[in-house]
Amino acid sequence: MNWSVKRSLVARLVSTYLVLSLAVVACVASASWLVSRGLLREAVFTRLDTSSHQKETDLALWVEERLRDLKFLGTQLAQQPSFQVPPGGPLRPGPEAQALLNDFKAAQPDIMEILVLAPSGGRVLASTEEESVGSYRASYNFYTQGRQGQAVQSVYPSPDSLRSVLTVSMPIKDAKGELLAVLAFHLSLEPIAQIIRARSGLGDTGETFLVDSSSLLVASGRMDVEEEQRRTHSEGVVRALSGTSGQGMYLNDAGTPVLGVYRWMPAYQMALIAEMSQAEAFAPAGRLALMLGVVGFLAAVGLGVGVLGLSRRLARPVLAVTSAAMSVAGGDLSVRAPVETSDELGNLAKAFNAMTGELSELYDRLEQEGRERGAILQGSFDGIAVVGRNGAMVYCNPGMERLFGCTAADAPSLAALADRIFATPEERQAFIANLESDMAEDNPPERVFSFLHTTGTRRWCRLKVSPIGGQRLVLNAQDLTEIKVSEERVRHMALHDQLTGLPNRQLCLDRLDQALRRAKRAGAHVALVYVDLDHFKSLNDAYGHAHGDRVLVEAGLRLRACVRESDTVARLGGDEFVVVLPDLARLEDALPVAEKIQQSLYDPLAGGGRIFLGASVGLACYPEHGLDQDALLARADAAMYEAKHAGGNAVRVARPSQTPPPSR
Amino acid sequence: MFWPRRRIFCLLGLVCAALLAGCSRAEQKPEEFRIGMIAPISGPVRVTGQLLAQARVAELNAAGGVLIGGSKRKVRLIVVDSGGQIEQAMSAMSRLIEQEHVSAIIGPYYSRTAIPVAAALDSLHVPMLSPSATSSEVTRGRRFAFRVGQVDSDQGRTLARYAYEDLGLRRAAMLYDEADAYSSGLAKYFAADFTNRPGATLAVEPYASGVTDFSAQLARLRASGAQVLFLPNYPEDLSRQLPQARAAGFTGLFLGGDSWDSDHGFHSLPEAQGAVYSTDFSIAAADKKMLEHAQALAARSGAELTNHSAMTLDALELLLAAAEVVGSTDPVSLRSGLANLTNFEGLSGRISFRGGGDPERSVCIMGISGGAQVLRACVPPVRK
Repeated sequence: MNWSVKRSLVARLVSTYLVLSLAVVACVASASWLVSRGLLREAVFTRLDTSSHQKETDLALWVEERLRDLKFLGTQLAQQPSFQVPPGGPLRPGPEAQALLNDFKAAQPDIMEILVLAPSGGRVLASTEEESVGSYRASYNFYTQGRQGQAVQSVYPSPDSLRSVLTVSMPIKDAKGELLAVLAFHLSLEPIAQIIRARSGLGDTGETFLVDSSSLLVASGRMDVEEEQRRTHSEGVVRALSGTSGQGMYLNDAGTPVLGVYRWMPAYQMALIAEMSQAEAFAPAGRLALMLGVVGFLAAVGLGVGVLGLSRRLARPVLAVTSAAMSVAGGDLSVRAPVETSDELGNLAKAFNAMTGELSELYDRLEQEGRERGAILQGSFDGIAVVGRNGAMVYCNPGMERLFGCTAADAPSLAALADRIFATPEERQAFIANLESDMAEDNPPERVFSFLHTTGTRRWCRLKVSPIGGQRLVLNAQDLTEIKVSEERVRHMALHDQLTGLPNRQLCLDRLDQALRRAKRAGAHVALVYVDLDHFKSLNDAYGHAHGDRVLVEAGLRLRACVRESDTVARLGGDEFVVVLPDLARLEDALPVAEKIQQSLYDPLAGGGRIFLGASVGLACYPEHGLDQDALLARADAAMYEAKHAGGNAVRVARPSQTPPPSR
Repeated sequence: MFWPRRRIFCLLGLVCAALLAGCSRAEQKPEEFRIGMIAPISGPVRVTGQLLAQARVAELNAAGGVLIGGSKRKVRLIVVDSGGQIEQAMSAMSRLIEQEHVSAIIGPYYSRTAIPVAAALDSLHVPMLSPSATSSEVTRGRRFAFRVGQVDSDQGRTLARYAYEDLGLRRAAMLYDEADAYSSGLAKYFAADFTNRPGATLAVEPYASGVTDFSAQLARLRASGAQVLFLPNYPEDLSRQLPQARAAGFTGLFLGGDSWDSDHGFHSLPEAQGAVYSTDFSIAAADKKMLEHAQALAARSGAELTNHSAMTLDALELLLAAAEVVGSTDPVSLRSGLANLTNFEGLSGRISFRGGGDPERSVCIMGISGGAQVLRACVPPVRK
């Protein structure tokens, strides 16, 4: 079976089914992936939001605790006896106050530095860091704000370390409400980092981090990142730093696609960001889609096998008919398609079989007819040939080969045939020209011509060209030689004397007539010599008719010997001969001939004196003795009788005519 | 009806192409010369110097930008408010570096904020060019900190010499804000130079920021018999100190530093008349052509041509000149360009940095007369 999709019906059915069903599986898998992805996204956003909200609350609580610490220490300091303004001088915190600060810092690891600042000018009066004492903090916001009341200074890069720092401050007032000093804590962000870092149930890739307003990481769940690269930049960070809170899908600073929730916390000038990688968040959606895809694929393959079986069953009758049709096309007409079903396919097979049966009969009939036509052609006595319009010999039957004495191989074309059967170029050209004009006609005439057979004899042929449509013609040729020969014989017998072979009276008159016509046109003379053998009757009686016949034959031969080739010697009947001498220049030229004839017929020694006993010869000439044949014959006959009456064996010329000869 | 398979594939191809096209990002813009600016736009002591610089940047960009390293580059000036506070200035600096990726920063204007910012920028290797912060602490020991104005050590010396030599005064008094870096610094240098001169005496009284009553200190200074009272303080304090000094009975000359030029509000006080102070820029001393250009820019942008705006404009032009010289906007290259810039003709005069961050430049001695500023003298730059 041919499995090429373009050539196999079954392959086409199965492949189309597979393409369509796989497309449906892909669509279902994609749709389920998209829908579950959307649901998962919402769920993850909710988790991230809850987590970040929790962390923000923790952060606020932590700051609140530090503010309570601040307030507590402020109250403690205000109650210190050394923490009183001496009259006329600035406040100078005593060693007790300094000890209190140091103890408090030691107890509170969140605090980096505790500062007590002068109520004006921001001079550092006391600090847990000795080097700070004596310097000024007048230009710091925490100082300005701390003079007014409890304040939280949002996160900023510390000028000393460039690390982010959070400062809380408050005023210390005496009992009268007079400003004694400003108390400030520089807070370490490490506890914030711990809050942020705390495991929050965000999966393997979930993380939360704090970013300050210059997109520096303050704290993150990733210690390694925090240490190595403190700068971060992502869509969530940018949006949060522009002062908005929200959620979205974007690439994080490592280029990983994440789901993120971001919050801007204006109180701290920080952004809190919670992110989870999309790969982890959407993994269940991927698994669902994969499961659907695999199950769908397997189902499609299984169904594909079913479709293969069904389509093969459906296609079997068609394939059987196809196979039978291909055998028929290959020439085997005995093949029949199996009729397996009674549906349309069964009808197709039946119709095919009926058609093949008819075809087979037709083929047999044609074959029989072909044999008949072949026998006719082969056995025909006539010549039959098929030629192309260009003259090429296509077929030549044995009759044709016999007729011209050459095979189709000897004469592959009409031109070659013409070369073989005609001696002169003129004959060849005429033959070819006739054939060409016949080929152009619908009903060409029969052509009869003579040719030279390869045996060297001249023969006759009748030829007819029959157009059969298309580029071919049929030539029918018949051998006319026998007919022509018998025709010639009959004609000769009609015009000649059977005994002597000389022209008879009819032919003689015909020739005389022709000679007279010619003489009239050319102004020539014609002489008519009338000869009658002397004593023939007695010879005949004495020696028998056979001898008489012999005399006549001998006389004919002697007469022929006396004249020119162009002269006519004829036997009118009995012992009467006539000689016509045409084209004479003068009347006088005829007389010697007449005398020669008279002398040749007197030969007493020949045949023991029993053959040539003399002849009476009369001579009449045109135009001197007559203008037509009757007149001339009559005058010559008269002249002969004149000689006969004079004793025979003499020549007499006719008397001149009473009518004058026509003027010249 | 089934679709021909070829058409289905064509359709799939189109969908893929559309998805890909949707994913592709917009092309990046050609590189700009990004300059940050930290200015106290809000807060107690405001500065509007950025307006003139912004007008200049707009003018440059309209002309196609600045030719740097063979190609025209647009200039982007990103102004961030410091609110006059150190915390905000530090945050602003951090934002300009980390988020805006600027090549250099103009500002901060006041020494108290400029000092911590300069320290941070020096460690971050980004040049800072303060238009008006004059405290020596801003540039001392730093490679990336520059200023346009005269450093306090020079200014203190100039003022001491002017009082001693040009005015012939020998007894001086000084009231200064010890909590403010500028005030205390200038006071220190004035004192160091003046007291070293033969026959000179100096009475000194400090105070801390936020004080409003200076009578005790002024009474003691009055008692010293000073001929001149040096007040290196800000206008907010000066507007109290001048009347209180006269009230305390001081009749001598009031002498001030360039902080006197940051706000002319108190110049109209009757006690201020006849006072003398030094500053970096004076309209009377400025180059005519440059002045006309600056005035045209100011008129167009609605800005005022003040000391601060002139110095800011010079700071901008200095950065552009340095970038053109080195053909780069890389911060480290810009720093070396600035440090080697000599004889730069600015609106506030000729400026040369000879390797360090403090310029060699001229200073104007101004007098207040009838509420207006009158040029008294021009002190040429002193070659170090």
